[in-house]
Amino acid sequence: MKELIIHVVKQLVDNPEKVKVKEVKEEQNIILELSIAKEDIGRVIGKQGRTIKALRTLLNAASVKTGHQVTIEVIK
Amino acid sequence: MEEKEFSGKNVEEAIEKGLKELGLSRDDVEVKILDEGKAGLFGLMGASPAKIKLIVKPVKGLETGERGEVAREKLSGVDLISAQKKVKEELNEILKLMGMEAEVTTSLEEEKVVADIKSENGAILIGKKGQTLNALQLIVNLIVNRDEKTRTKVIVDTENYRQRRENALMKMAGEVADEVKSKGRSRELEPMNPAERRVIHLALKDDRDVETTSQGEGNFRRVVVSPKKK
Repeated sequence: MKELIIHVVKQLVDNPEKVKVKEVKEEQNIILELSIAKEDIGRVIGKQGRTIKALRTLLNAASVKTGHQVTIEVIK
Repeated sequence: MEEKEFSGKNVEEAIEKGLKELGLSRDDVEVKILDEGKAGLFGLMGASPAKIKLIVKPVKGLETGERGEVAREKLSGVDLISAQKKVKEELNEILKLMGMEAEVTTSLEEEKVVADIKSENGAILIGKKGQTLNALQLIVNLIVNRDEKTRTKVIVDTENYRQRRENALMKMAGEVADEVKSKGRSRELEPMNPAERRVIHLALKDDRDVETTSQGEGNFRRVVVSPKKK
């Protein structure tokens, strides 16, 4: 999950070196805290949240196999 | 300068095949015949394929205005090969990271790259109303289009989902049109993405008794089918 997000987000932003993901596990839940450069936030969220929504959809599809509930949060 | 070799039953066929793969027209390339090939006796014995080389003509400096536009379009054709490669690599990597065993093949349709995924996890990959497939498509488009050299539209498909969905939408369009005609009242469809709305508009374009419009903004935009005012 973490690798998936890091890989995709790094290719969308202007400052890939600033992409960091912290994985917090709580029983069945995995929370991914994504931190990126301030000027890249728009790119990752996208028009009307399109991009972040697509990322969430991919995470959900990937978690069907592992049975986890994955959430992603963009933090500054 | 970009050049590539192709072969076919005869020279004409080889050229056609090459142009199709590169997404270019005859005017964009210089053709060099490497081997005219032989039809062989009764088309059977001693036949050898024709070989040709297509050399992409350089585009004269990018000018502004209309000519510039034309030039850019042709330039994009030159890079369709690397765009396909990039799409394939990216999809393979993302699918791998998603824990899906899958095989990706790419082809060109008009100026678009079509990526077809073969996987045991078809249902998961498609998702509810194709949302996972659409998410993959969006992400791959964003990645590939970051680089101007591979700027192109990418369609991601699996198990012929796009065609199946189009057929289902066309069928639904017909049913809704019938309902609108018999009741004489407008009917609003569920929200759809632009490609899906387009299918509905096109399906009912030639229907003399109904008309279609789109309403709402962004993710909530939907098609409304109404009786045509006479």
